[in-house]
Amino acid sequence: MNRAHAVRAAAAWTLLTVVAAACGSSSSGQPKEPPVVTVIGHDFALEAPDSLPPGPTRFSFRSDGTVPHEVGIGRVKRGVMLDSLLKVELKGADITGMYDAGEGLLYLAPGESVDAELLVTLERGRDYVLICTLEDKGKPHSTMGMVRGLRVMND
Amino acid sequence: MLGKAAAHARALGVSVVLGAVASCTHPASAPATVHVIGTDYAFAMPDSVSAGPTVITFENRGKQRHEAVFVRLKPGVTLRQFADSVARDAPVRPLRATGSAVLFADPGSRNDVVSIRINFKRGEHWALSCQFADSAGAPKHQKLGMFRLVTVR
Repeated sequence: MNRAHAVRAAAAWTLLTVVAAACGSSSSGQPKEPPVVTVIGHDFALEAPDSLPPGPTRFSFRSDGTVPHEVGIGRVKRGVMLDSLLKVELKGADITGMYDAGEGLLYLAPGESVDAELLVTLERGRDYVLICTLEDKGKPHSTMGMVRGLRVMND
Repeated sequence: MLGKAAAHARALGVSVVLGAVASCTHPASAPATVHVIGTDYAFAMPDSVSAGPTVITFENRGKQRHEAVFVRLKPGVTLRQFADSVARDAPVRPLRATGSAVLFADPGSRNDVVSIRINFKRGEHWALSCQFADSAGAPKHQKLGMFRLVTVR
């Protein structure tokens, strides 16, 4: 990570902490909605944060791709190293046993939008995987770069 | 490691989140909850739901792996039109208004990792289906009964 990236990451961390705290409760005691994180699909990458604070989080999805894309979200099993999972997936091998059962995804054909979100209660210190498993000419998009990890902060 | 495109996106992600996450809102009340139960081969859920923010959870009580695929129908498309297309194995994409939102659950388990949140609008129609098949060449689960249409009241 270069210095500029590190500075931006630190700034993002600070803001996320502030926003997460602001979203958690209100002075009136009225429940507030969880924060929304928008994942963006490209040919062939998923644009999303590297890390987020713990707690309920809404994931929306949009795509500027020329082919259908999806963002699937799964929770990495305890004891599985995120980097290992990403390496396995990029090689095109099966990672099914590396994340907990119970996943969700949002799918978009080119030009479509989806008026639904995935709601995930991000667990402190856990890792999640964001992935597009659709194929193009027999090649999974995940092996072309559409897989990434999401680390949940410890504090 | 990640490809160049993904690495570039990773770098951009930090700045994206600055704008993306700062959008919590304050609803008048907590979202409603709809619990969908899948079996071999049917869905249990209401035929209609109330308008407003709703969290949908999914539990699989069957012996096969199932999914719950939600799509909104285009305005003007009737439930009958959509159901007929499914029955005829005709493409339904021209009839749907949006992409889809999907939850998965292994046999005998509840998906406790991910749920779907939809802000239902009065008068909308949504379809729920399972596109899985038990083997190559076998009918999709939706043809075996895992297909429902839902109206927002």
